[in-house]
Amino acid sequence: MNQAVDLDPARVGELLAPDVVRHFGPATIEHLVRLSGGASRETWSFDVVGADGSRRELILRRDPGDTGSAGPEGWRGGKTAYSLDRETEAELQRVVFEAGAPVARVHFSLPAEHSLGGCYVMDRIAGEVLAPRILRDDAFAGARATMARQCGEILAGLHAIDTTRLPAGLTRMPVRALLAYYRDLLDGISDFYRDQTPVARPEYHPAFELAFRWLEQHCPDAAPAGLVHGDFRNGNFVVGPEGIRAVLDWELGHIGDGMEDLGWLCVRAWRFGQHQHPVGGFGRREDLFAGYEAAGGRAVDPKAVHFWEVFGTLKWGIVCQFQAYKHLSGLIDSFEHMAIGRRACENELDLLQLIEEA
Amino acid sequence: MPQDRATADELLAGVAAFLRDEVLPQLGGASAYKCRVAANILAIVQRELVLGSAADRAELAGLQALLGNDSDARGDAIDDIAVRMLQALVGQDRDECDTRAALDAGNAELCAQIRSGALDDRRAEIFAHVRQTVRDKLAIANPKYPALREHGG
Repeated sequence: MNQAVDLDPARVGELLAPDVVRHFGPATIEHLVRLSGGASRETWSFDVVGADGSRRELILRRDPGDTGSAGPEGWRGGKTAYSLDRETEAELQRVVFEAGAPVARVHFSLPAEHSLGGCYVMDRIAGEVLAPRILRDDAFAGARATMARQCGEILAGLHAIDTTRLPAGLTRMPVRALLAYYRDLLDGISDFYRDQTPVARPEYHPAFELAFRWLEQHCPDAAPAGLVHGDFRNGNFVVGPEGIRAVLDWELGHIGDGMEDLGWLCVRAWRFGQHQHPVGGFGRREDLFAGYEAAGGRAVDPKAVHFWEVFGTLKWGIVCQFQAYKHLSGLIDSFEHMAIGRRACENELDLLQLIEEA
Repeated sequence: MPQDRATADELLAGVAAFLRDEVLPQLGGASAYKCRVAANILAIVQRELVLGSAADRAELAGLQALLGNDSDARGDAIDDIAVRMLQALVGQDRDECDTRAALDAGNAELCAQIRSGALDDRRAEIFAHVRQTVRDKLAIANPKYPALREHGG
């Protein structure tokens, strides 16, 4: 595990330079700045200028400190147990790039032992990433009109990738394995609060129990297995006025039921208030499904997508609790994460309604 | 013995106003975000002080109505401790019981019974109870959260 936490730009540039030269030849790094982004990942933007004056616009994605993939302690270490380390994520991104999916081209990756920690360098795709802007700004009105169908097309391509070409590090997470994982997360957090906090009370979520019960009774067990992005939603898209240019953040990639991606895209949290547009706050389910089928995806059963929307809402609710756990267990020091725990009940309300509509 | 004024509610309101009106305008970036979260947390605690105990009592009454009288007869995967606590609750003056322990016991039993399928045939009443409990939680955590309504999806 590397301990390279909170590096300043000068130090990141220093540590990165030898590998930049090794990969691109004689070149200098310019305009290295950290972009705002996730708490567990750092994203840096920089240019590489060659001896002939040519300029490449690049992104460095790295793990600060020892927050790579989950260790043997699983989620108790604060990471989703089936998440990928940066080298495997880079490898996955290369495979989907070669398959023709809209994703940034990866130039090189560095192992966890590197002084920068596990990281990789890829092309910087210009465009907007902030979901609220994509959903509200006039500049993206045209994009919004096409994105639901485009999401269907992109997902059909991802789900069709030959699984033998995927990195060996990807976990098989069929529906029952996912249910078991989030069941363990829900119960484990409650046990932790009961046994290892001064309050010494478990946490009960009857609404989540109703959701688990419903999901177990409606499990699409026979689904074919393929690549699943795992976090395919607004916020992980680079968008231009014409639509999606690149899909980001492949660390939750796994092998499972592709309908998981379609359902997750419809989860309420990713609509950012635009509930009249159930697909990601921008589109209609009919267009998502039509795009998926037109691009060669299997026939979409709306009930299966609804199943995964219920699952995704439950998952997001439990992940809200997980954020509070990270602070209360001392893994991180962030009172904001505690506040996210109080959002679990938003998902409970949504779950009750989703199940009743079924 | 009551504390001297100001009340906890009033104290929190004062600090929240300070954060919002005086501190926040001086901040930017991540600190401004954290300051907004901090003010929001104080508002949650304030609402919990006002609404929390009534919500707990309502939840307990709901649990009793669902599980209270025939929990022994059901016997499905019921935690022994939960049964004892519920019996104590049903048989004695409610004020003598620790509301929190009773809530935990009742919820443990409710969750276990939902999980085992023992309540599958009582869906409507279970949903009504859980929905009310969730609404009471939201009234404290995020009263602006709207019920899900889709148009055209």
